[in-house]
Amino acid sequence: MSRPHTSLSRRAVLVGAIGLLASGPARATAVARIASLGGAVTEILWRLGAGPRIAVVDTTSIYPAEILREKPNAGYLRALSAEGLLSVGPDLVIATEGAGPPAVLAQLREAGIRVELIAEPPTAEGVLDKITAVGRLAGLETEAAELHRAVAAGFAGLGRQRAAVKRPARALVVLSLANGRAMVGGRESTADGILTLAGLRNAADGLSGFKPISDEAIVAAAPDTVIMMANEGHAQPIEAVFAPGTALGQTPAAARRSLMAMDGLALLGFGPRTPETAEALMRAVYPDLPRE
Amino acid sequence: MAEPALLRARDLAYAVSGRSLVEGIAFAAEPGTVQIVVGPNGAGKSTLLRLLSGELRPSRGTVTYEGETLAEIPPWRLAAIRAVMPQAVRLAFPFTAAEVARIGLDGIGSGLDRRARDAILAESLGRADVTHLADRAYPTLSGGEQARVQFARVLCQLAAGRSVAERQVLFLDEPTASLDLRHQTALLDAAVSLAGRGAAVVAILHDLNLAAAYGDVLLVMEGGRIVARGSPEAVMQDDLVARVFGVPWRVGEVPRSRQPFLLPQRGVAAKSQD
Amino acid sequence: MRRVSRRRTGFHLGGAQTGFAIFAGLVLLTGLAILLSLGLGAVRIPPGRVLGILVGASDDPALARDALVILNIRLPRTLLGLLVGASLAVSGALMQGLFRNPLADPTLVGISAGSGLAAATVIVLGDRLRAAAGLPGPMPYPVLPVAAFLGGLATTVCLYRIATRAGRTSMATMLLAGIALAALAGAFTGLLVYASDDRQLRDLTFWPLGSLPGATWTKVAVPAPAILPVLALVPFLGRGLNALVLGEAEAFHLGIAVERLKRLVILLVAVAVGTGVAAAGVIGFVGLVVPHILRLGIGPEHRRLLPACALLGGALLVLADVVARLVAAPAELPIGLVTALVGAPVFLWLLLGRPTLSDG
Repeated sequence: MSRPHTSLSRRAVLVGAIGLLASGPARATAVARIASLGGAVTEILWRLGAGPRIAVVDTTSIYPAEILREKPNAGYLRALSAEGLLSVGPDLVIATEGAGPPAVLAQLREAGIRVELIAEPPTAEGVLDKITAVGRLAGLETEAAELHRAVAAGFAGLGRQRAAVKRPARALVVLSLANGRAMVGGRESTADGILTLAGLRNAADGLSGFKPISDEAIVAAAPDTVIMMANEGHAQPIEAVFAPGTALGQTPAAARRSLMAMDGLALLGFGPRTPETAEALMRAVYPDLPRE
Repeated sequence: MAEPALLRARDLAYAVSGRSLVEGIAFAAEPGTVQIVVGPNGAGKSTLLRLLSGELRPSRGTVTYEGETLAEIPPWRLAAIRAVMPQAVRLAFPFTAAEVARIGLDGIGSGLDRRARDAILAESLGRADVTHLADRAYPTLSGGEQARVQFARVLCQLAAGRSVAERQVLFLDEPTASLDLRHQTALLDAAVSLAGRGAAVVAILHDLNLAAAYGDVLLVMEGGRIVARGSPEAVMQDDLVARVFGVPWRVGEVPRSRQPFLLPQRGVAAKSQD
Repeated sequence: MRRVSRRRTGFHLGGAQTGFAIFAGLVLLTGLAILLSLGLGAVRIPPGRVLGILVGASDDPALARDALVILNIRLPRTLLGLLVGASLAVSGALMQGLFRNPLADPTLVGISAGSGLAAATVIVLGDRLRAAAGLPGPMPYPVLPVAAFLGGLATTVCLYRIATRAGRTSMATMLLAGIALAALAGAFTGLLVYASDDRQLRDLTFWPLGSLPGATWTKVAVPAPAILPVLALVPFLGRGLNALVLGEAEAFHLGIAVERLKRLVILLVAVAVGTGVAAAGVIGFVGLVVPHILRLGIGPEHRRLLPACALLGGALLVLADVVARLVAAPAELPIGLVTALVGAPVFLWLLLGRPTLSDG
């Protein structure tokens, strides 16, 4: 057991040395290389023009497509590797809350890398705060203020149109439909957040978070419309989703043949595209809503 | 009695959930004797052996080795005093025959050096006629070959134990069941010669002819009790064979040695039953 | 080399030499695994520098980050891999000897499932319980591994109680009870899935895959005091397990205190598996494959088998970890995935490539 002790003390020396190194030039100038972990964070950085400075992304960063193609991938947000991240040499890690494991984040900090976690409440304010926070961390306050203004305007316009919705329709967000078993977004989920923004009522508000739902509960939820994921073009045909005899086939949505397939990150990512997504959703459900 | 018997049981009884398997057994074994337990299926022979070897605790009565109560002798010391050759032993792992036999040497008579152990192993394998099988995987051997390997293991244990305890007991539970004629006699000859070197041998046999040929004393068990005991000539009588084993066969006698024998006959067993 | 040496035993002098050669090979393999694990990773560090950093020759501040990678990331995960791999393989061999069945495995009798359930409970209910008790902040790190260890131990004690009547433990009952307890633990873990929120759900799905990333000196320091004594005790169990393989009665006749041996083995397995699962999650196949491979190579004799299992188990897990971190770099695969992906085909290949047990 003598090994750990000697290297622990050595570690203290190392950390001191790295701390001195890191605090010098890194803070003064804008951060050179950023590890961007989280779909919305990556999207914001790209919109701020920091795309070239992104050193590595995670599996949830799938927009824009060129990021996905060009950048090395650090894997799943919650199963990061300290050495993997160190190997791409970032100066700053911006990660969505929940990134981990915590020990890995601690090791990165030990290596003198700044690690910042961004909260993700699924609301308009959440998106705007995220833009400001990411802009500040990347040293791009001006660009962030501009994006903030644009996105805030989008939310404001969305709010005005939403005010015209008289009777909110009931919508069900189906995350996956495997073997006829549906996983849906309940209360306190990002699905619930986007429905609220789009002036829709969550038909699955009896559940909390993303949960599998029983056939009877689907019928009882009586959604007027069903929203599904269309990641990488894997949209299911409407005939299959509303097949007679299935639970979804007995809902008002089936009678109205109201099914929407939407990009998962755009729908649930709560990034700069959220106002447009919410508006598209709202327009699809309420086609007669007056435009601005 | 000057010194306590090597092995003695008094008023031994064993019952499982109210059902008596063995009852009222008195038994003693001294070095140099071969005692053979015979009896029909379910007579309690194996239970008696398990009680005497310490594997089962009696419900009543005591077993003593050299005057010491069996339950109070720790397993490691007991292992030097008595060895047990079980009925068929199957192995799930590919131990070689030599490795199985060597298990009998491990930890017993720990004063022995490596050379002495190797010598004991080689001699035991030879006496059990399995030297040529030494490197074969035990699970691939025939039933009879496996039984001989187990006998070699028992021989190892006794030889190693002899460095600690001079007077030993050897239990054999149907040792000849899967052996051919030559190996049956070879094994029992080996047991007799162990008795000649100071061991008390207690064996269960189903073959009354083998029992008569090798036993100094025959113990006949029926319904958990010993119903007859004595020399083969005294015990093997027509009426006892008919009563205990349910076969009305006449006991014959080898002309000069007066050794009794029993020749099976067709189709007469059913008549005397019930 | 395996085919020839399989039947060699301590009976012949040549057998002892073959055994020695295989042991020397295992030690070399373990050394090689350690070197690879320290030398390879997403961060490229030349071998010379690795060596320099290890012997402490390099105090060059320009190499500080490399030193950190080697001393604080690769070294602890190498040690953790050795410890966990050794404890998994040894536990497998112990269970197989105890149950006299080459297919027995700690995952089979529910010990891993019990650890997993305790971990899931902490993940899902931990924060709520802390909040209810008025404790501030998130769950401190050691709570999860300690809970997993206690879960494994509690499962084992349950099993033992169920299977023990009048001072005798029935291994058959224990095996059946283990399967039932594993199902029960699985069901309760499923219930917790329903009670969990999104974040907890993701933690739950990643827990059973097992992983070494995030191995820190703390994560090595927690299981080491439990696993090392187990490994130190293992050589003394060989004789008893050899005898036990013949049968419980036979082992008793050979002078083994059978009930005490069974209790000791069960306790050791619970400690080794509980802490192993706690430190690295549920890693499958090591406990099954490693003892099996070694029985083909050096035979089933436990005094040789158990130490060899410790060596090969450690080496294989460390190598699996090297693969896990290189294949998808800078991302990382769960190590349980690698052991299953590599272990299962190797196992099948071994089964196909040798004569069956019964054809001599």
